Amino acid sequence: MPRTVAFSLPTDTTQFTALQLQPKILLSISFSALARWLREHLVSFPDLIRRHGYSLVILGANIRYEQPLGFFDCDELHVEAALRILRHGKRVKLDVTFHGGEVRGATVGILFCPVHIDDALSLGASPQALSDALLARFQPDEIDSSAGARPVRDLLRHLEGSAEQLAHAEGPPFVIHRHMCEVADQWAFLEVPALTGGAREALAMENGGQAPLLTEGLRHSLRSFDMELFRPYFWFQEGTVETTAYRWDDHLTFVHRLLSKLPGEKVHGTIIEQF
Amino acid sequence: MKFKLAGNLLRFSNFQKEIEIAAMTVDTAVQSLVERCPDLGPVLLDGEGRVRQVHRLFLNGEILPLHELGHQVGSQDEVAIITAIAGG
Repeated sequence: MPRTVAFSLPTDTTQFTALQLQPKILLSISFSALARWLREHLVSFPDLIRRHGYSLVILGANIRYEQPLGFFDCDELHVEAALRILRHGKRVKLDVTFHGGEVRGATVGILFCPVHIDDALSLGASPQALSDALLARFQPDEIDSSAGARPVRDLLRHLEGSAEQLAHAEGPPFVIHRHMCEVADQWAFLEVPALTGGAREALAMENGGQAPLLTEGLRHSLRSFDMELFRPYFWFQEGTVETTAYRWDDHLTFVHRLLSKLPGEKVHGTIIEQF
Repeated sequence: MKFKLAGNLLRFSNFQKEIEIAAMTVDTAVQSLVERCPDLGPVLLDGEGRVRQVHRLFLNGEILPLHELGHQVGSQDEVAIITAIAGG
């Protein structure tokens, strides 16, 4: 049986919007669940980096809201997480479920790429499969050779052929300050829902008069959030969110691209929110 | 020429995002950069004084392979240094 970690957290008002669990909170608790899993079943996250020379970089994440769960529906969240090795140690997948009582409120999946630390001072690193010594600590039923799904590409392919565009905008620049960063002074992936949520709300407010369906993006709960990341932002760098809203099979869908003027690839990530 | 730094490198450049260096080539500019900011040396360069593979250098927006650092530069040129990082 694959090993898991399970824990409970009392609910508080900052974990929810008026409609549902905050996507940022789901990602944050999920990442904490990763740290718990590593500490209980492998090595602690700090030791993974400083003793073994490895870390985990996020390639993508997805959130599925399953049953309605609001702040007043439960006194605590029960979280359970499992970790798997994919692609012969070149990928790691975290799967997390969130329950409030008997209600399964959400599931989160996060796909990671293991990297080997080249320099302990800056945490500069490059992709590398986990070492044999670390892989040996996983159970056989926690290892498979599959690549891990990357749903954003599939969703985009289906959407671009069949959806009706409702509105489009590129928002004002944002600056990555330290409150949005993790330990290595690059952005923390769990800030993405705040950036895309803000862009969506602005687009809906600006254009809801011309396209009333857009206000579903303010009125109703998110059904799913899918994110694929290509490159980070760094402390003090600027970015923008380019957002397109679609009617797709009579549902509202937002596609966000995180952009910058940094040299190299301009798109830092693609995010799809479905209502 | 001008170096542009961000993120984790700022801690080692005394938080200077842009640093002007007089040099003829990128590699001599890098050497002058680490002389100006000694804390950058161990972060930017490996034990043999070469730029670590985790850094990407972009000359005027175009990637500059690490084996082409002999590229000549002038006063209007900019080199951005971007690091592949191990965080979340």
